[in-house]
Amino acid sequence: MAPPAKPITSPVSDAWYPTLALLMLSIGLVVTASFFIYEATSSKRNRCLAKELITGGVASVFLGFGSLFLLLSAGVYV
Amino acid sequence: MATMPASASDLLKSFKLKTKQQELLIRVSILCLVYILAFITRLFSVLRYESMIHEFDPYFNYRTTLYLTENGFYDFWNWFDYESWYPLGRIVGGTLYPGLMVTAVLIYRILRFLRFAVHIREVCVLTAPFFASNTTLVAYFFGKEIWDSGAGLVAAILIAVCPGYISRSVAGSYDNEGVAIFALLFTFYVFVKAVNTGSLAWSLASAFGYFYMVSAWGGYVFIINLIPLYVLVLLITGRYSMRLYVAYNCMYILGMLLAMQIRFVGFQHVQSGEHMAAMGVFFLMQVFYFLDWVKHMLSDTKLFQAFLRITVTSAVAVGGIALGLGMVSGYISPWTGRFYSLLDPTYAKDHIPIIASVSEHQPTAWSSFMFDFHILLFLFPAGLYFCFKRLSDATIFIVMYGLTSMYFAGVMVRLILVATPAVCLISAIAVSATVKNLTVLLRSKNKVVQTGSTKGSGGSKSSSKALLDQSQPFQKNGAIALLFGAFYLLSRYATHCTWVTSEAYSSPSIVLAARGAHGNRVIFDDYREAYFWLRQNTPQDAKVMSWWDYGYQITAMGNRAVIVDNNTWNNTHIATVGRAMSSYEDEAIEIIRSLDVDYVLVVFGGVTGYSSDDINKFLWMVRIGGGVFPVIKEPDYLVNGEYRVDKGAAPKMLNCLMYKLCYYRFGEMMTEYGKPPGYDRARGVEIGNKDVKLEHLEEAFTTSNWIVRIYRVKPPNNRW
Repeated sequence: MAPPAKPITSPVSDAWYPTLALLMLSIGLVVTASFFIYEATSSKRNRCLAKELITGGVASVFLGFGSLFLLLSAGVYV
Repeated sequence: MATMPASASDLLKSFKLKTKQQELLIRVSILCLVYILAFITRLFSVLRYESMIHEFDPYFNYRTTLYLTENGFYDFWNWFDYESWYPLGRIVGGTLYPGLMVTAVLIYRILRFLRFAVHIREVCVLTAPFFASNTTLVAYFFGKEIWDSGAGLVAAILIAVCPGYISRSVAGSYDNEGVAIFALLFTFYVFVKAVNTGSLAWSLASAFGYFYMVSAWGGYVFIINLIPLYVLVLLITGRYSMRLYVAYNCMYILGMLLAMQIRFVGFQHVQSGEHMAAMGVFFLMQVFYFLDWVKHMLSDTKLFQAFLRITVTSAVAVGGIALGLGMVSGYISPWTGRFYSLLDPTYAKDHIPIIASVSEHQPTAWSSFMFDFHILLFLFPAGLYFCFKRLSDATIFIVMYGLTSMYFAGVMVRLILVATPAVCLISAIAVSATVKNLTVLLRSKNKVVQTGSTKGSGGSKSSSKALLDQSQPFQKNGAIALLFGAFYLLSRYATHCTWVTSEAYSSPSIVLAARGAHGNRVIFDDYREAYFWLRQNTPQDAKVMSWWDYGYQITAMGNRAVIVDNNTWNNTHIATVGRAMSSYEDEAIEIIRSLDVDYVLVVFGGVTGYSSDDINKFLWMVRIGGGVFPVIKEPDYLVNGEYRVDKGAAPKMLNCLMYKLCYYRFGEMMTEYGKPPGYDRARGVEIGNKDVKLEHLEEAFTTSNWIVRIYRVKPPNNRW
């Protein structure tokens, strides 16, 4: 006989979902804003590719996780 | 360790933003918040009831959108619907504006492509709020074009919550206006941009914007008349320029060609009297260009003056003769009733009762203006003043748009919607300019004026570091007080708008709500109950006769053929139904049998006190029926000019089909404590004829609150 299966749980407990969503989204939005401002107000010569890539990457990671937790906390189990 | 504080302060300095960056951040975050606000303020009814389509017209749009998703564009464009207007049928592909449906299906396909498994109904319900958010963005850019970016921001905020726009674009109101106002504002913005810059690219964009507007709403006639009027005003005020020439020519020709692709519009741009103004101005522009070129070639001014006089008179004469010939020969059709009644409001009441019977087409009361605009009502003249002080091509346009749209809003309630963007933009100019002047005063430095003080006060508008006029000592305090007053007014506006949206404009009309005896909320879902009964309990080919208000809903939800519906394109057919409803049962059954009707549906509000039922609409049935069939006379149903249903009512009223169908079995019903049985709560009287017997119809279904009643037509007797 097969061993009894353990129920599937999330690595992050559901009580944390709203808090994590808020935290990650706000950090993500702040980093997005800084990226956007950097892009819009610096001239072509002053730009630094490394800074652009890092800011964009960090922003997208935080926004991605934030929207995932937002959807989970709202009941859309993606 | 001395380097540590230095690097910490350097770190902090790198986080501190420069002014330009701060300004950009504030602008973008305000626009994002306004975008979200415009969307969520329209969601009241979705949160309170459910995600469903409201009202009557949106159900037709929903049905056609469903057809489009299932059958593709070609079948949709060539669709002949035999289920409505039985037995005539309706050429749906040629009599609708496809913009809304195509837009919804496009959004649906994009979402499906991204693997969001949405249902088309959800997309339809949320299309209007989505486009309202986009309208706020367009309003921002338009405000920036007319005045400056501050005015743009205020315009975006004002239009996001303005009740005049919200009334037709709540979630669930899946109607043409939701998309059309976006298209209208977008076309206007792009055209003004084209006139300002003279670039061919912007003119092309305005032609395509016009095409989108034509595909979305019949109100495109407003654009095709306002823009030529605007060009004419520019020509008269001496602002003719190459930019105007390029912009108008490109927009008119391309826009006209594109508009002819819509079957419903067809050749109207060259054949209809309503579109002739645009053509006339087009030829006038060519004359202007020609004169300009001749002036450039000729060096003699006297000769040029003579030439000018001859050319202008001959051009006007030729234009007048051509127009006259066109109208006399019938090639150019006169103004249609719907638009003619805007110029002459009494026309519809005397000649076309169907147009007069729609409550949205009535002239506007002052309370509607206050309800829909609030503080924008007095900010509008203030904004006009500011526009006149800084006249340019763009401000002339917004002034004209505001004045013409306000006139039309006064003539017809429904057109408050068209006036809303203009009112919001002009009010935004007033707010922005006032706040700017006041804050400039607050930030100015105290400087002693050496020479005469007359020059000093004039500087407050131009420079940012202004000089305070020393003769008025409390200027700063006055400015602070006025600023507080302005912010208080704006906050009251926001509160009013949200209250109006929540209380007045978020009802789905198909689901009614009321307060019960203990203050709990009671929901009446009778309409959908009746339509689903029809769908599940009648044969597939059953035909339903009802008043035209409910036609779209019956076809969309009940899925049965109807005799007349909200399209109201055939007045005689509607008059036939009206005649059937207002005749005695024996005469009515002949008409009913000739139309092949199986079920008759009436709406009755006597038990619940619902006042938009068929008995209250009955006089319009009589008028419309009597307009085509003189055998129906309105005075027969009135007593001393009064419309009554109690004991003192006219005998014809007490025995007509509508009365019998509504009050069948109602005579024994106790509706209110302490009142006799058969007390009609909507009219507030006890009915006159309680003993109703039906000979040729039998009751098939009555909903739980007696709001919708369905009767089956009995087959003729086998014997005498």
